[in-house]
Amino acid sequence: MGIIIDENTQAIVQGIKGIQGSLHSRLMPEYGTKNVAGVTPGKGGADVHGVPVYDTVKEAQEKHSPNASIIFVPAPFAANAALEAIDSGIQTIVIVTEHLPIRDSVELVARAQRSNATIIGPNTPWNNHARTMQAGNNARARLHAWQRRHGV
Amino acid sequence: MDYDAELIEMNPLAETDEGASVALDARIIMDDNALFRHPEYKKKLLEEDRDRAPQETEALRNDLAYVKLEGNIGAIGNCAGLVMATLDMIQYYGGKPANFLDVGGGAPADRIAAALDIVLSDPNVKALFINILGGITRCDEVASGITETKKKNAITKPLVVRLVGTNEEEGKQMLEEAGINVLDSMKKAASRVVETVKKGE
Repeated sequence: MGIIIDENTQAIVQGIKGIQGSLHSRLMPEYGTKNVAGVTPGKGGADVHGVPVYDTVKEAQEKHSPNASIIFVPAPFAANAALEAIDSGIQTIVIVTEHLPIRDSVELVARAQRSNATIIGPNTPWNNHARTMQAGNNARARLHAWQRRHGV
Repeated sequence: MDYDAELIEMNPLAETDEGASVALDARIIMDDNALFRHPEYKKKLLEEDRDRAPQETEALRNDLAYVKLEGNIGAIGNCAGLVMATLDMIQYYGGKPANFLDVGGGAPADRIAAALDIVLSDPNVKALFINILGGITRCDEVASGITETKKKNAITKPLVVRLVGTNEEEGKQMLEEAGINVLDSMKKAASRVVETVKKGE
């Protein structure tokens, strides 16, 4: 499987207008993550921390060609959000949301396998390529911990 | 599939003279995370008069994962693994946990306050240990849940808080202004809460 995310990863954040999506799309770039766009249906045209927001993943895909999506969408809608990312051709999907129903997860994993997409999660706190990129939450805390440990 | 069942056990299964199969008894376990698709079952679960501690019913109503245990140290944390580690740590220092309570990721202040009310309503609880490693959970939200409860003079028992992670500076400042001491180390916090209970005995 090798390296899934690194400094070349161009990420979109699904659910970027939500409390979590908005907070972590501010924190992730502090770690080096390249957030190129955000998606929240009905909020297209907005801007979150300088990142443009679109109504659909397809639109974000056409304008920015991302290769990863990080999902901060509430559990009842998270599976649909991930399916939308798969259908738009995104190959790496990180689902931070917890409490997804088992039925949704099973369907999602099957659909991802058919499209050769990699799903990380649901309910994953983060995945991290040291010092260059962090998909998921906790970026600033992890960075601070790393700095404390190494005395910088 | 339609009911989001995790397991259906039919036992015993009988065959009639006509050759039809009839389930004489059945046990169905549903996926708790899918209850939002089946509000009627959630309602039933709350209404049912089962062998459940009042704290457990209250937790169910607030979407909190709570299990009552037999000790006297109340525990609150923000993810199942961390709460289990917290219970282990309390035991390691010679204490006995009174409960398992996971507030889940991203708990807002009112859910923290509800968790505090539930644990404090248990007469067995002699002291309370709040252990937060904020990822999705924001330390300032946790702090505001705690200070709101303190303002109502509802914190009736000694409290030990360990708070690190997302927005920890803001959270710590809020708690310190409210006169609540905050620790960084889970070990120190666990040993302190056990000491507090032992002193009180």
